[in-house]
Amino acid sequence: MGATNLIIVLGLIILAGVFLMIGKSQTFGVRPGMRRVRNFVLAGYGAVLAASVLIVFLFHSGGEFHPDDYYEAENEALLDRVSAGNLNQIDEKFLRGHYTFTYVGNELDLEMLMNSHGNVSLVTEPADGNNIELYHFSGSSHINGYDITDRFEPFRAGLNELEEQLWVSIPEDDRISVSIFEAVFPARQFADGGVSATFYSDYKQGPHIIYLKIPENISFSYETYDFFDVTEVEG
Amino acid sequence: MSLNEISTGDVIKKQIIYKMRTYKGAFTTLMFVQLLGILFSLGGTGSFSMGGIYTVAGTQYSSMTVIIFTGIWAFVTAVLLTTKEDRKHDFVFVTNRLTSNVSNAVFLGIISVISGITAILSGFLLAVILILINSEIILHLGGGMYGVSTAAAGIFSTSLYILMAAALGYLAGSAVQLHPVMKVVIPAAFFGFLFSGWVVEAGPLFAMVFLEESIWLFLVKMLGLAALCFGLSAWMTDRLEVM
Repeated sequence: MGATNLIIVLGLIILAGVFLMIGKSQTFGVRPGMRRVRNFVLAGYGAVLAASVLIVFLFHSGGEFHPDDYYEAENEALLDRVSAGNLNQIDEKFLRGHYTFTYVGNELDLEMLMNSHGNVSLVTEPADGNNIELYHFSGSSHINGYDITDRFEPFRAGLNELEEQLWVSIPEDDRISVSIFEAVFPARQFADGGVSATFYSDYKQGPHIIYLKIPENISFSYETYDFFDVTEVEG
Repeated sequence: MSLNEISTGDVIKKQIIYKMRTYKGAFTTLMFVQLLGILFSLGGTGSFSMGGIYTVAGTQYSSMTVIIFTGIWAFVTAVLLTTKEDRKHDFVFVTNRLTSNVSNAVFLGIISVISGITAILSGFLLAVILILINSEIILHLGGGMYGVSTAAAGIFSTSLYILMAAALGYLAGSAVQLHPVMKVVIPAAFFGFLFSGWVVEAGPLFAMVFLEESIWLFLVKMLGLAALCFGLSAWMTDRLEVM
């Protein structure tokens, strides 16, 4: 049963209930002895509602809210810094995962095990020694202006020396569950207008960047179509 | 013959005060209806799933169910105001059909505002319950304290929607008083409209009226429609025989 049908059925039940409760008493009256109780209950309900407003506005942050262009600017700055190889200038909140592998071979192929590649960029940097370093940076993502970046699990990565492959895949838990409460639903028609007055959620996922420090003596290859953008940084 | 002259305004004022006292029980019903709405809202009022590298699955919560239930309550309360037994109460005062209808309309306006406020505030009660259940819930309040003005806009629009439901209830109740056959005709027309293609045809018209983006135009449209309903009701009940 769809949500709309459920609401219609519940509405009809409520309608019947309301009629049953007050239908036969045209004055909506109660016995005189019960009036004080009724007044007390109503005052209590009012107090609970007022307290709820105070709790929500004063004591609950409700998540960090920023307009869409704030996230766009943050993500552009992240891309600029990563593309320039300025890892020390990047805020730690963007770093999801960091792996170090020791590899003694001469050839290495990057294998992307992703269900969707559209939003992943690759930055490579030649490095000294035998260590391969892989960083996973995730740009800011948000729902309706509320930051959900920290809910992303890091990409998994591993080295298959026999196959001469460095693989990167989505995490086992690639599902992010969010619960959104909207306190003032009807006001949306003035803020967003028209059809947007009904429920919608604006989800913007930030870019994912794989930053690889590859030893200079390794011949490194990858499929360019696996990435939205590829940048090679001078060592 | 009384030497005291009493103005129409005084009669209406007295009737409104009388109704506010007499129908206090309606607010008890309102409270139960809203608590029931909160209970049903705990399961979520919507959901979404968005793909990509990560799948984002969301559950939406809102006070929409509470508002719908409150609208039903207003509709029923307005219908009950038009019943013969309730109309008798107006004749406790020196009255006529006009003062009775005007006081009913004003009374329904007052309870629409009160129930609109409590409907939106009960959304915050729902939020507190959800915070206790799920600490990671995102509260979409329009961004920090800006949410206060959004809440005010929410109360404003909700009160107008509830007033519209009350006005329709009053019109339906008055029509039933005009002729008992309306008890069958109105529900039949309503469900016929709901399940026929007409509801789709009328969609743009409803959108034009109810999804108005300008808050002031919305006020004008809602008050205009409510006034039309109350006017039609007054015209119909004016034809009723004297009790």
